[in-house]
Amino acid sequence: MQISTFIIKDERFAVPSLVVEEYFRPLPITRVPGSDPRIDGLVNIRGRTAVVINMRRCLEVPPSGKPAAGEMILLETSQGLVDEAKSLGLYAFEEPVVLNVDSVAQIHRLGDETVHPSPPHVNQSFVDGVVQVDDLYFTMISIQKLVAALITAKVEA
Amino acid sequence: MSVAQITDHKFSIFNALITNDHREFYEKIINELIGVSPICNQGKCTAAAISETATEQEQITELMERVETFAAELHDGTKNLFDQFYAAKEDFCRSIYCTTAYIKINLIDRTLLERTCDVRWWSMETAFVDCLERINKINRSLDKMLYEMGEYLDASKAAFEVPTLETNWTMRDIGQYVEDVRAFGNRKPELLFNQAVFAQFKAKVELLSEQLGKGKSQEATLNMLQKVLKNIEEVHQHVSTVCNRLEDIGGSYTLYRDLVITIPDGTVIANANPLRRDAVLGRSVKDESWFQRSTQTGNENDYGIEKTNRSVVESGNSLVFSTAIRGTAKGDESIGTLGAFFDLEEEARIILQDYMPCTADGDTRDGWYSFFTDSSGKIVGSSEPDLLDVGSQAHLPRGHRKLVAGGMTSSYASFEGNESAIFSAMSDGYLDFAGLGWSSHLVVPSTDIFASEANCQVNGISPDELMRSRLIPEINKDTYVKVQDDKQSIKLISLNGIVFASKLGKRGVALGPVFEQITETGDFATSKMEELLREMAFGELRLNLQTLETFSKQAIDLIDRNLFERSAAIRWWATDKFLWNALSDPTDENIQTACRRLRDINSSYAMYRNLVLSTRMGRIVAASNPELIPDIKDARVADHMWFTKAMRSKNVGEYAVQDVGTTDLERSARSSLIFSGAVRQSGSRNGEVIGVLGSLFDWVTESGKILKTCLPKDRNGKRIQGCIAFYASSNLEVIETSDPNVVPLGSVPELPAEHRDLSAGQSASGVFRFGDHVYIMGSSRSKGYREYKGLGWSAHILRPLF
Repeated sequence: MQISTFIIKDERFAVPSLVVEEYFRPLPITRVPGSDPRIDGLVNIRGRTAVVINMRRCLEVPPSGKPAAGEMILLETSQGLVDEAKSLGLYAFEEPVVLNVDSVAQIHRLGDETVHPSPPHVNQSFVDGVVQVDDLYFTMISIQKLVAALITAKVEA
Repeated sequence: MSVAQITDHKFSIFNALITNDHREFYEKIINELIGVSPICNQGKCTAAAISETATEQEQITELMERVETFAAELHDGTKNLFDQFYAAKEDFCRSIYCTTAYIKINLIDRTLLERTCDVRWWSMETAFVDCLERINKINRSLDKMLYEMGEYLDASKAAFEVPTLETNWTMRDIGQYVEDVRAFGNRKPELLFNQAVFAQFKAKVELLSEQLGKGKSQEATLNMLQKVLKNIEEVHQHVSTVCNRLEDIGGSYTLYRDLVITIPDGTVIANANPLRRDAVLGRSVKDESWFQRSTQTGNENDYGIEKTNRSVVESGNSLVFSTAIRGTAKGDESIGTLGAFFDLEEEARIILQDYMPCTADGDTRDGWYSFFTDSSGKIVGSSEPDLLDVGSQAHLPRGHRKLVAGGMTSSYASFEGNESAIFSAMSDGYLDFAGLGWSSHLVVPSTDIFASEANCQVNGISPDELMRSRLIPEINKDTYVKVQDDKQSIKLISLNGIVFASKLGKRGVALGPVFEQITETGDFATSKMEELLREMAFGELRLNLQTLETFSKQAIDLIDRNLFERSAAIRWWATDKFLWNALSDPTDENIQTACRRLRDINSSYAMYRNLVLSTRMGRIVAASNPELIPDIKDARVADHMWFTKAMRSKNVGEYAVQDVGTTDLERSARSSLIFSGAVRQSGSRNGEVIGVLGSLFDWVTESGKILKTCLPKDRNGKRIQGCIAFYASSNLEVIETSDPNVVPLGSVPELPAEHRDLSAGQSASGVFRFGDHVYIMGSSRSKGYREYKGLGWSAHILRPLF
């Protein structure tokens, strides 16, 4: 499996590469009033409208002095998900979703043995586990659970 | 002032100036980028081989093309970046080193201006005028006297030719005595001005007189001899007065090798240097250019400046300031000449060896030269007299020999066997002084200009912070942003490529290495470029720090030199006849005369607010501007530092100074700096102190002017916004500032240790976080100038980074 890593503040996170459709430089975001603070708004990617999720807020990293220019990750829609991804049980939404991160890092190829389960003290439901690549650890994010958390929050509100 | 453009330097890897580091650097980047093309071709082939649909193949081909375009752009970008890098360094060095060359010639001009004032002032000294008038009168009548003496002697000799009973002297004996005396008849200048010769003459006359006295009817001859002796003796008294006065002045103004006074025929009658006196007095300088020039001066404001290295007065390289001394009766008639031998060699050495980088041993770095040339291109002063002979023609490119006043230029040339950059600036005079048409040249090895910043590190600032600072030219900032942008682009392109390939499953495996290679190359090239930009930024920072050091040094040097003049002037004035006269015999008339004298002096020197004369009890009796002193009738200065220090001085060579602060003597002034000198009985050198002369230097105006001169300017000569210059006293209190809002007077800014603990003459520079701002700062501590030891002050120049 390959993972796509990204950085928020100084912390490293990862999602499976197969759920990534494309990387972008930041695009102008249209805010939608009344939406969850973790939702930045909407962007237009070559005619497709996508929801932008602010990963900084989702991961509860306190905002630093200067807002980073950031980079965007467009996720695969369920339509574009390749068979391999489906066979791995990866999830995709119908509509395009964009993750707004500080910067995208690298793509790593890894074997299963490097995936560790999420440590017990982590209470974020969308953390799937921890991946070790060489000396570095990456927190694996489950997009499905993340978005589920967003929806739950909305319902609770 | 304009800085002439040299060539438009286009980057070429073959240019000898490019450092090895950079050549390697450049080649690596280019090689990497050239390697991109085959990779992309391979990528395209692989795409053709593995694609299942036309769209897929198109997508990969498009990706590859984007990469190729991008690599080509990076290739051009790298070349441009190197261009920028070298152009920036060149530009900056031109600006700083031309300025340094200019500072040096400007220092000379400022000094020379003071010297033109000196010679004109001294020529009006009443003691000189009085003595010269008497000497000239006697000199004129002495020819006749000596002739008459000869007649009388002949007569006496004849009388003795008839032996009488009263004497048993033979005629031969008397004849010898007469001849001995007569022999001096045609040695008039020596008789008058050489003490040893006069003493011999006097002895011979006495011997002869003794013998003549034994004869009959010799009164007329004896009277004649006495008359001659008396007249010559009077001249010797005047000569000694003039010599003493010159010695007093010379003692206060050590930048002169000697001061001489001649009578109109060019015979030297007095000098300041006692060691050279016997060799100089009575000699004629009528063939020397400085003397001839002085005879052409039209009035008391006129003066001559001549370079000389062969004079009967001094053999070294001197610049002689001369002017006619004019009589009291007929205002315009010249009764003599004053020549001041300014020690050009020493002065040039002080200035030229300054502002040069040194090795650890304190020697000037190899390949660095600094020298002055006159209008004909001959060297008049040099930092390495062994290599660059004073008096020889300087080997300079044509453009450097044809500068206009205030003009600057620079070019590359071989100098003393080194590939060098030569920076020149021509004098544009200072205030009233038009300058002598001299130029200042600074030679720097080319390798020093383009040296790479091996360790890009200056404490207190990170590369990123520096890149965002105001120091970095917009063009470099833009390039930096562009490179970072490129870096991001190439990363995203290849990541997308990898993601794309991974979705092709097994088919995509072949594409993986292609994108990995592209990522690596792109990363390498952009990182290298970032590195180069950072090196550039640190180079800019380092040169800016150097500039600020230079400016702070200039600021402290200018004030030291200015105050040296003040310390010299006060010592000389304190010996003024009108002043000690008023103190030892305080009649209304004498006091009035002293006041007038102080006013006269003050009116010629704009940098003083007041000159005050105090009795030994601390009461002010005369002032040039009495209206400025509150309650002058009751003004007591006995407890003022300037007064007590001067009262304790031991001889006329000493002066005292009261550091910048407030004083009762002028409550309206923000702060004052007071110089003082003891006034002694009869103006004698070690006489009893009978009062003190104080000069209130216009510190606020003068120091403010200098600070303004030393504020950094941009490449177009415009002052850079937000810069601050200030002086701090020895206890680090701000005593003058160009920006009281940021650095208030009287405050004690918390300076970094290396700026605070400077030793005399030392400079430092670095990053300084002060208030809400980040500055770079250059600091220099006073090293004094000649016998003015300085007051431990320091000058600080700040330039904002943000």
